[in-house]
Amino acid sequence: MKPILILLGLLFCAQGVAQKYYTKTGKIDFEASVAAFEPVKASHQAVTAILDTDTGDLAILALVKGFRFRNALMEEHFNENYAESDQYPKATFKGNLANFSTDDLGEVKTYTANGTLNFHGQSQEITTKVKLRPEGSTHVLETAFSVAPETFGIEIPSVVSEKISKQINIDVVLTLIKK
Amino acid sequence: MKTRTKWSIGLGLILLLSVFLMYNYIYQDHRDIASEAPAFTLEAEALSQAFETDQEKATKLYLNQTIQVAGTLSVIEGMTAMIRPNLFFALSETPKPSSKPTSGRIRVKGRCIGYDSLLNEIKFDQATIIN
Repeated sequence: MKPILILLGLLFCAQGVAQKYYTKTGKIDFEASVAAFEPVKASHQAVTAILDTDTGDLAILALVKGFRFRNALMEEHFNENYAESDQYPKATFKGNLANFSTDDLGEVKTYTANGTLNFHGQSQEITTKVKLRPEGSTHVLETAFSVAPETFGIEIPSVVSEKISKQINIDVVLTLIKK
Repeated sequence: MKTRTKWSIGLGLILLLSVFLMYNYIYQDHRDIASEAPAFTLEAEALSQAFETDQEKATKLYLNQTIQVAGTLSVIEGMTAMIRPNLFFALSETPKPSSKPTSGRIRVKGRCIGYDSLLNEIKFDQATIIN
């Protein structure tokens, strides 16, 4: 009798622990360049992300100060005038990969992710294609999408409006390891 | 020399100077965290405690500041280092195997970029290991 109880107990324990993959050094690049003007782009190399492989839930967090521009003045303006990163230090995505199944983890597969993107204190629902592929012991999650700055309550002053694209392209690469 | 020539030379110089100043302003250098004097020097435990007690207040105080932290090394991996209990550092370069500490007490200087509420960690970038 006792061994069965222990076995049952173990089974319940195993179910209670969710399988998670994560990274602390994910990459997000964004670009809002207009041809013939100085490139407006930045890169973040320390993005945190967690993928729950039981449910397909995906959470991403980029600390806004971590976006690095080649031009120091552009970085300063981005932080002070546009992202207002002192007031809104976090950019987050919380969503789910539709029809996700742990069984598919070993192969390259594209999912549709739905979720909420929060930036500059404003939220926006987004839907994007997410590619997940195994690489060694890791799983690489890639996605790219575009957003408009005004969606997040960011006004581009008319003086610079022609130097900044109306659509900002965002590239995400997360190399997830088992937690 | 004619007055007009003098004027044009003067104007030319002013123009040159303003272009130079403008260029320097637009293409100014990034902060160099490694050579910056730390605004705060403190123990990892104390910093961790500050964020645990009041995340918002700690963020206001430490965000974007160059901070030197001392604490127990948890792990160094590639270009990242962890100090106990929950400090994460993105290093500006991969530590050389010869000078890479493996355990014990270390000091790291970096720029605080905020609190990671997914993993409950305080994050730094452009960090350098002092010893």
